[in-house]
Amino acid sequence: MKTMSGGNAVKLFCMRNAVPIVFLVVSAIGIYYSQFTAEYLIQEMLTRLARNSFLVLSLLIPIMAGMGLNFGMVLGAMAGQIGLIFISDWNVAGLYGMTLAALIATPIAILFGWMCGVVLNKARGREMVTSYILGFFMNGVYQLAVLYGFGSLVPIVNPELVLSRGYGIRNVTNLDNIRGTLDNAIEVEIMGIHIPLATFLLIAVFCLFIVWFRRTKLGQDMRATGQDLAVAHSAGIPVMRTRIISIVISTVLAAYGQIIFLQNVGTLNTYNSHEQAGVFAIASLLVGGATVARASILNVFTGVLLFHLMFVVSPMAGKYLVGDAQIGEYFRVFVCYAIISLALVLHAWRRHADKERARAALRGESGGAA
Amino acid sequence: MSQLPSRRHVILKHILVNCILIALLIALGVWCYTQGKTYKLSLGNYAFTGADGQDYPALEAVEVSIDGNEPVFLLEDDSGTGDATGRRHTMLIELLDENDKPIESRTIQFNIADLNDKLDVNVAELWLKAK
Repeated sequence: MKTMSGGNAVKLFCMRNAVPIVFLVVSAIGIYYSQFTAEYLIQEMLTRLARNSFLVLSLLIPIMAGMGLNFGMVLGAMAGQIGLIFISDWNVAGLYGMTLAALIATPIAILFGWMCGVVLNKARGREMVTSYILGFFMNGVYQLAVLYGFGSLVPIVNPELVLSRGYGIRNVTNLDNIRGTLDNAIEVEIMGIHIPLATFLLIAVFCLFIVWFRRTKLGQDMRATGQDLAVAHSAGIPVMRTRIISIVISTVLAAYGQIIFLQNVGTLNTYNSHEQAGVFAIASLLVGGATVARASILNVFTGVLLFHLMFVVSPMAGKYLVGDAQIGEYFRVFVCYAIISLALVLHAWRRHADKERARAALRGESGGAA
Repeated sequence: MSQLPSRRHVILKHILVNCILIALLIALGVWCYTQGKTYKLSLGNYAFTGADGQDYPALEAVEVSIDGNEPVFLLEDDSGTGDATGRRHTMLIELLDENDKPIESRTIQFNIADLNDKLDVNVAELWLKAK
């Protein structure tokens, strides 16, 4: 067996982690020019890690089942928002309010997830683009329901929530009742830095759930399905059902993630908050070094840290470098979305290369294709 | 060898378990609603006639806080609002002197179900009850 030389190992490591390394280098330059203090950056990163990690973690299970990046997680985010609208209307506060919102969101998210799973089963091999477009379709349905159904078909008693015409929810829903309830549930402050411990504990429980879930029968079925659909089917695994379950779990968890996200923000942008949830979560995961076919818990935290570090430092770095914060913001948007494109292109290229290599191996060629 | 349970038995068991789970989730939802529901109480400091037929005056100046929330300052014949989350509450009433310094404080527990539909609370009346 051939062993890899040190130089090759480093090269391979750099190739495999090209995206996080690029982000790390760009962020390091950004930190230098932004002139932010370490305390400020640590506080920002902790807050953003607590706010976004749950949403990003919800993407892991569909990747395990070979369904790629679940752009359909916006459906879960919509379900979470519906729960939040109800608790705002009923004026239910604190952790009770968050729990009630999650309970209301659960059946809606299960329904949305099941619908999404069924559609994605019909579009095997094109799951990502299908779920992306499904998100747009369901966004229309959500807007129709919230803009016309709420206050007319669905009773809304709080006049502050309803538009002046008597039905439809206002553009902005105030979440004062639950603002920071989870983040401040366990007060911890170290050297003036507030740590949202309760949120981190919840995220830790979720991570343990994912580790445990991978070892269950269903988790193993999902991994088998993700590796090869035909082989898994031949082995007697109900692949279609397994794929639907993975999307349902992801959608439900995305609903909870959106509730955690919005309790931190404290304001619900009724018609827009969910729109960016999917893209930002997916971008974070890819920045962390995940691919369409492989993602780990480490990728989630690395990605959230690097992606949001870029969010924080780039406007100020842009301001100090070229005198305009907007330039830094443009740069961030350009780099972030370029990363998503690059990750998707790399995935397609690797898949093609793997196929070529497999064909070459079948023909008995020693070198294989690139 | 013990007999395997029939398919019908397994399905019935699944349905039963699912029903119990749904019932538990609904119960949790109802509990969260009752415990987390926030009521906007209308706090007033008015003269009133007691159950004994005697007239009692309003308090000169008081500070009222419900469940340790931000206190509400009320003068004689004054009114304000306060938030109360859940069913049972503790109200702290502090009687103030001319320099707005507390001279006496009383605590009273009350239930939302005991209040009228408008959720009006006469602090002067509760002050007397808390005696």
